[in-house]
Amino acid sequence: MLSPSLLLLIALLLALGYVAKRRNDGSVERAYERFKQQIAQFLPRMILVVIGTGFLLQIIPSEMISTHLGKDAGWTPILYGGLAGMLVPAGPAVAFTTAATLAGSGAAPAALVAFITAWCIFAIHRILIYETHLAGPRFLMIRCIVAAPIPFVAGFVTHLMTNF
Amino acid sequence: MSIKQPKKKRSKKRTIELAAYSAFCVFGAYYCYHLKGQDGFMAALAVQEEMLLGMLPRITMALGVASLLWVLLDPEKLKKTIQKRKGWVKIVYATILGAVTPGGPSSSFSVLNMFLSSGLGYLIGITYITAWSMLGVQRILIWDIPLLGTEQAGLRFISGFWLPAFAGLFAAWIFGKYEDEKRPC
Repeated sequence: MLSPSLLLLIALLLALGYVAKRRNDGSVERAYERFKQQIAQFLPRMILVVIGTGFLLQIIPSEMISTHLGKDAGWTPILYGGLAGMLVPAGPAVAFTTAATLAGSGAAPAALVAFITAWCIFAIHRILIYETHLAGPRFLMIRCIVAAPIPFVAGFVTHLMTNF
Repeated sequence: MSIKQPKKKRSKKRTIELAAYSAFCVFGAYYCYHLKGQDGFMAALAVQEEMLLGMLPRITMALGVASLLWVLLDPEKLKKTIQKRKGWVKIVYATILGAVTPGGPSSSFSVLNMFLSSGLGYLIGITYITAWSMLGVQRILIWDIPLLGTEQAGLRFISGFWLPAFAGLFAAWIFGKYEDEKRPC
């Protein structure tokens, strides 16, 4: 069945494909090459992560997740989500499937927003591999200080939006 | 746009990653069967089938969109656009530019370095890199929407689209670096 997200992606694909085609400079062909590379890179990982996540969903007691990270747990899910997101030392496949697992087990949207936002900003592997070398330790320190509240603020705003 | 690594090194890295994910599946399957029995194991297979059937079309479309964005957007042109702007419009442009910068950290950090070395300062640098990390359109299309759904992706975007500007202003205020600032460190 066509979900809203699939429809949105199809519409975007058609619109961007039209723009690329109108350029008439080989953009479509280059995009297709890139697409093939990305499929080869992401799809096997994604399938394996989904399989692993399916087993994880069965093992993790969903009552525990809904008690500590669910909507009824108040503000604490935002705190737990934000701190956990900062500590995930892996790429998007792991971070997002963990979030999908938590969502499937009853975690609150605010906790998921805090978790994903924290991971996006503070992905430890990215900081170590890229930021320290490409931006320098001083810039990195300033960025970490000023961005530290962001996951919690985003989670708080989501909490307000979903409980209004 | 991506970091140029030797082909052998990349394929070795990919093999290690796939081996790690496969091990995750095998251990997950073992513990699931061990702890939940055959019924739990079959229930897990049903969940996996449902997730895969739901996600695969979305991921395929999302990767198509991301590939087209990667070809259509030129970070160099976007950088020139931001340098022409003044005041708060510049902050808005830095946020948008961060969100649409295609490619991985190598391209975004090279744009950041261009900003810092051309005197745009922490205000724009922090706003840009925070927007890239938390609002990246490619990440939203490839990961947020397929795995968490449009509603959750929308919530994350709406609750956070203004925060990179806040981080930039906060950095400029605390560290006293507005514009006309040369490359730090």
